Amino acid sequence: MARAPQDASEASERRWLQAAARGDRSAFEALYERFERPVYRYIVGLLGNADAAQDVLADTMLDVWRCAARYGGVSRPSTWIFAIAHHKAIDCGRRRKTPTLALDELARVPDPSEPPDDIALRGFEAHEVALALGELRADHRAVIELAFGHGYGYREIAAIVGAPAGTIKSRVFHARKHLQAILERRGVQREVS
Amino acid sequence: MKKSDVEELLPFYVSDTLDQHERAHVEAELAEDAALRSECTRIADLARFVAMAHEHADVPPASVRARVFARISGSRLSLPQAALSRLRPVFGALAAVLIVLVGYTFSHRPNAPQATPAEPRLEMQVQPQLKQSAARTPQVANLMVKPAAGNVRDAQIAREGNLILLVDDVARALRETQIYARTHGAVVTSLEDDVPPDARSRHLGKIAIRVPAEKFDEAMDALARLGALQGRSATVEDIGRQIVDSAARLRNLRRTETDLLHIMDRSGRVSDILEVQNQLSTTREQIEQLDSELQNMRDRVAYASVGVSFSANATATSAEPSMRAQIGDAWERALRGVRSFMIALIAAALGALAFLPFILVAAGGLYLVWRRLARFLNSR
Repeated sequence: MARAPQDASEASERRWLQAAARGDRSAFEALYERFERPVYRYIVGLLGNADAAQDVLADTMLDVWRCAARYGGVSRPSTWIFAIAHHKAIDCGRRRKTPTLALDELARVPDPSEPPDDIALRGFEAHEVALALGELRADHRAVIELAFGHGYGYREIAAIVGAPAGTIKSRVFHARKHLQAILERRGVQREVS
Repeated sequence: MKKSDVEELLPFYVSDTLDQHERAHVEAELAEDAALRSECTRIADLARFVAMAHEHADVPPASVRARVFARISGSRLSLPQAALSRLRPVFGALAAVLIVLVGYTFSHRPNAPQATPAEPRLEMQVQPQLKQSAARTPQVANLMVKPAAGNVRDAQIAREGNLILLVDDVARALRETQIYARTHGAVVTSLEDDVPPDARSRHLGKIAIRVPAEKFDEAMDALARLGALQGRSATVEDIGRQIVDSAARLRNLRRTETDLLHIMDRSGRVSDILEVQNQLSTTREQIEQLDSELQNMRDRVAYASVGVSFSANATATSAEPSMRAQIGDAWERALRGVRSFMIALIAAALGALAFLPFILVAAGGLYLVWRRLARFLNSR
């Protein structure tokens, strides 16, 4: 499971963010390298569309560059960056209305007739989970992605999403119940249930 | 803690993000409740599946990165609004203090001598031996400075110096400066020999040379000996940060250029290729501009500029100035008078503006007193 950044890397992230606020492009490059993939994965998970996610990622990183000086240092840098990405993705999702899975993602569905070696099976199950996540409501998908995909605690998720911590706990509870039901319906239940 | 609360905490127990207190509660409940343990296992499996879906997720294409860095390279970082808004009260207070100070200074010193244009950019110190002549000629006082000794040599320093000299023979002084330049690896960058049209005018000359940076002090001293020193100034500017910043920007732009070339290789549609080509052209233009700026800054560090102004000791005849010269002087005096008057006027207006709140409060107080007094008198 992807974990939330630990103390050592958090210190580097803070340093990069402070340097980026002073216009240091190399620090921003380091920050970009660090967050490009996790943020993109989160946005893709939220929007279910790779093209839109790329636009949101670019917007997010540009905002990080422009607004680095606004980072107050209260939350972790990753929480701050994910919060920017979250709000941009939600705005984008509202404009798009219907989240869809990109065609290239659908094209990567493994052929069930292939020999069922472990890698292919894992790929197939991962794809099924991605589809199941796509069936969730956007706010449920967001908390599941943050809790299980990125390893954030409920307080950090509350900061990212902008909701009270109690709401986040109950939202994660209901979202995972719903996700488990979808996965069982899809047949990815051997290990989940 | 209720069971439902513990259930809500289970996902975060699995992801190990609970604090010690919460974790202890959950573990105590898990030890007693088999159903809860089973639920915990289900959540762990679910978390593993979601994480697995993440491992199989796409990575963002390089074009996103290229787009972000192209936008960043094309724009200068402005001071963020939040920082500005945080500093706004400070700016306000500073502006108020500045207005009061300016108003006070000008309203109390209307005939103060005008500031000279050249201001030293780093720490300077006035040469003691020149203080006396500086006091006599206030218009060159601020020029008579020399860089403070220190570790400025370690930085990327751009140096500029100016000398004002009185000489017996301006033409000879100009020649000697040229010879000095030739024999010391310097280059003459400009030369003006203002030969007087008549015997009553003064012969003036100006020459600017660029000397290797390490010979700057030596050149200033040598050239100062060509005549009677009237003024000497030296400005030093550390442009190391600008050089480093420009070099970094250049590196980024070159990287962006490479990325754009890769994208262009992969692009299929003509419209896409044209768009990328357009971006590439902009990036290359920025690269050329930045490269030239960088070269210029490095030249400024490698070669220092020294300007020398020569003035003949006296005119050929020291007779009464011509009528034209007298009229010119009168006109200049009149202009100076108008300038001083305008500055005093603006200072008075600023002073009034700064004291406006106090004036309003005082006026309000007087109005209230007057109303009460009027009421009191009416009642009697």
